[in-house]
Amino acid sequence: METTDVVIIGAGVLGCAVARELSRYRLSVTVLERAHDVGEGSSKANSGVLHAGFHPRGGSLKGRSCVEGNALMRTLVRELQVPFVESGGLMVAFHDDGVEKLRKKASQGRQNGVTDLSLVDGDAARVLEPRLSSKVIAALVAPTTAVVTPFHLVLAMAQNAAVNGVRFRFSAQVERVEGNADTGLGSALLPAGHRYLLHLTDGSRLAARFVANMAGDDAQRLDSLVHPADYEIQPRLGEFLVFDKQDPADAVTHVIYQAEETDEGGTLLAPTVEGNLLAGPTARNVSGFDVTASSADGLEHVRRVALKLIPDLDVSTVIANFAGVRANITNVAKEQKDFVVRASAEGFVSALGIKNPGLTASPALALLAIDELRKQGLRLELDPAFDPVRPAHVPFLKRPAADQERLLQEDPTHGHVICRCEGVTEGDVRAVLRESLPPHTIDGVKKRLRTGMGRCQGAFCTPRLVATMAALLDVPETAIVSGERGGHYVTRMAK
Amino acid sequence: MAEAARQTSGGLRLAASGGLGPAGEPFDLIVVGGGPAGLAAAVAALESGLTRVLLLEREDFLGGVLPQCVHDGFGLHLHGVSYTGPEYAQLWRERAEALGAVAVTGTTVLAIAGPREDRLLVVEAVGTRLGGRATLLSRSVVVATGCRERTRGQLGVPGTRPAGVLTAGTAQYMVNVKNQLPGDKVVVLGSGDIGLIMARRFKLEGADVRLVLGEEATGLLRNHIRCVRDFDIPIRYGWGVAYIHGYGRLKGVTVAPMDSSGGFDMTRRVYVRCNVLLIATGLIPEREILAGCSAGPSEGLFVCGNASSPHDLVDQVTQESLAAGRRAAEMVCAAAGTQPQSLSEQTLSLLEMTVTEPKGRADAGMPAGFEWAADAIVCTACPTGCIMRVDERGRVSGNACKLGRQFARAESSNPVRLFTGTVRVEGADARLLPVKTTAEVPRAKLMDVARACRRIHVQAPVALGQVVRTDIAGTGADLVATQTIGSALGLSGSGF
Repeated sequence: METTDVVIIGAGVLGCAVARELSRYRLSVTVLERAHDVGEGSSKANSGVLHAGFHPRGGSLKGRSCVEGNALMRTLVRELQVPFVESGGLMVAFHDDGVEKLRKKASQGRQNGVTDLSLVDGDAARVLEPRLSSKVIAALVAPTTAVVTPFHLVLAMAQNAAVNGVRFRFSAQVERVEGNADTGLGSALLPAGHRYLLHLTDGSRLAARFVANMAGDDAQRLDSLVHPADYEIQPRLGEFLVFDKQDPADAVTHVIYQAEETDEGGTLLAPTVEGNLLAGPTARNVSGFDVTASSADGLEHVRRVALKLIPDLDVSTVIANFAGVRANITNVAKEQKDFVVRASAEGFVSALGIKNPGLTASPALALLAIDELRKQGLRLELDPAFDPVRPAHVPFLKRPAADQERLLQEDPTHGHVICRCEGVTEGDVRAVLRESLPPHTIDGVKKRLRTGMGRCQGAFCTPRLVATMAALLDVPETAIVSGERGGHYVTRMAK
Repeated sequence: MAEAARQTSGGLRLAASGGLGPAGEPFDLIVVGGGPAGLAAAVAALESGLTRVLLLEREDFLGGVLPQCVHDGFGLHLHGVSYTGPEYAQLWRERAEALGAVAVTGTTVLAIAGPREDRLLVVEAVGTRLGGRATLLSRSVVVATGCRERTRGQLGVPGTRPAGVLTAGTAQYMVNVKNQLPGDKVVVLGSGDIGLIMARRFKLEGADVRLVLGEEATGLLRNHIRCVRDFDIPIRYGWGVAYIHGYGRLKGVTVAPMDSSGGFDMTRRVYVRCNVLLIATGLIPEREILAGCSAGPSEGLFVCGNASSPHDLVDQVTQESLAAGRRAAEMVCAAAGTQPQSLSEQTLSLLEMTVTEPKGRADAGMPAGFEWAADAIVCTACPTGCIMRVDERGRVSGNACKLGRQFARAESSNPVRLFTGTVRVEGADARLLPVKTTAEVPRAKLMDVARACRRIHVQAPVALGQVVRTDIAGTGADLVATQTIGSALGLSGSGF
């Protein structure tokens, strides 16, 4: 039987943060991910904002972990070479009661440990963000608000963990969990010292000393296998609009929140690391975690809020819309609601109801989860061979001339542009297919290289990418699929 | 052109030349884009006497979008012949080659900057055949980069994001160049020419084209009849796609009539099952490479063809681009204190022709629910495109001349059509060879000819006009190649 010290269920931002942190120690760690790639759930469809920490209730785990995570992120993005922009954030008010809310947020922020918040008037806010609506009368300025490319963050943590010995298993869905006598679940099959036996849907089994249940939308189900069910978690969908790359001369550069709409931070505007502008999300309860469809009303709402904040925004430059689903705890009163990271059973830690600011909080929540496991007896002995640095793939066109010359000698396909909106060459595609944790789908390549994310939305690159991937993977073009849920681009050869 | 040809296919190593052209001089003209616009601009500039002219093309072949436009209807105004796209491309490619044009394919221009203090423009390009990345210097630049298509994201259609939602031009490239069929149950959003032409292409490839939706009744009337009515494809004007269904793969679309405010009347919505949604809702000139460039015509920078604005007819693109190439040459010569050579008579006569908007164009703003009169006949005897009717006693109305009357009578008794399509080609980089029938075939036989084409494999090399099959599907007409395809690299060896 396959055994491991720690099994992490879920390769989203939190699972990968735990994996990367545990890879510092002399431990055998296995990540089980039901999808074919890392970061396939809530971690891939969000704003990419690293919040400062003034949104959550003062002193809550959400608030503390957000502030701590925001600070930890700076080391993380440096070591892992993840694109990151210190944009700063503005929460703006249009009315007096909004100003009152800003004061409340400022006080909450201070309770959570944000030390550098300041309240300014509308004119001062417009100095920071010149296109901000003339109707804004005050703003809370948060210098530590930042933006990151969420998928690159998740991938970088996973790749670094993998290099340091963590094993990743994909298409690995945990069906049920048995425990030894200590856990009260009483399975006699387990090797000594191993508390849990995980049964996967493919029929394989894995024995683990410790379990970190970081499974996002599946975490509640897994938790209920070892702990009396207590939290109800429902899917809540958020819709986003993606604007084309901004003109640097008059780009919106801050993350902009509005005080009058505070549910989960409400609909915001966020520049992206790559120069686009995002608007969203909405908050709408949906019937399943796999319901990631945008609605006309939702997109209209986002459009309206975006224009309220920046009235001269050109909505005809929207190039795409998308929707993501987050895990929302529904049986706890709003003022009591918080992230849950707990030892649900002996040696079994669960993270429940992690939604925004979960991306920001992930490094802090990972430390907390690991500390829970330590309390349960996990021995953390530093591995001197741990290498904290992950070299990022630098696209060919962003490299210095000397590099380009050398790469072209090695592989002339570096000169062949596949995606012209985002400047990706065939050599880049080859490179990511050779990396650790390589992509298998068009979306997988897209997440790593941005092929198809530009203004032509894949019109140019998709057929070329299908042909290139099929050739590199040595499969027919009809075998190449869009993403996790299938979707062939070519149903058959025409003749 | 032979010497230059051999040089470029082996790689010009321009990357190592310090950005200069032959003899260590800057280029006279760099043409960005090797489609009909770029080729015409290069022809005019070369005829005007410029010698250091470089054409850069991102595809592995010249012709731009034309090689994927295997249908006919190109050049009717300028040449008096209804060429297919590949034929029109080859015509202009050969004219450029004959004048000694140097083209580097597989090369993407990243940016254009300048003018510098020495008045030179800077072209930043990358490509394998260019020898890597190069910063090229030129006295003038013609931007002939064409258009890109509006996408589903720009339309803001809500719903899911499955595979199977693609722009019509992408589908055309897949089906006609890559031999990739993206699905077999098709809805087309947009009744412009590209949407209508792709509806017919899918039908001829054996797909079920379920519906064409036109916000407005746009597109040439000729295409409404030959692409949609000929094949009994349902079409609805004033309707659009309100929602996209299906994860992974497209499952269907909700369609609904548009209301006056640009929204949908969802009380009348209809669900249509399909696995392909073609977005054919307009073209956007592609000029992003000029983002950091302040130059204009007086600094030697010209924009022509669809990159300046979308044109209905390639004839217009050719004319405009010949003029742009000429102006670039005049600029360069004036700066050098010389006179440009005069253009060839052929080019001069093309520039002088008047290209009129065809009559058979549907007016914008047709009311919702509008249908074309079932008995309307669009004359294709000349580019005017008269809309005619034949009554029960055989009397023709709406025609402007005798040719029209003859055309209308034939159309009402035994309608015939030119067939255009593709067949497999082996022994070349290209996957498909575009073909057409040597004569018009009975309309009722079009599907038979298309089916026969699916069983034909041709061995490269093939020359334009070469007979691929005699008496195709018993029509009496022969099937001929509409493009030269060499056995070497690229389509028709067009890496020069």
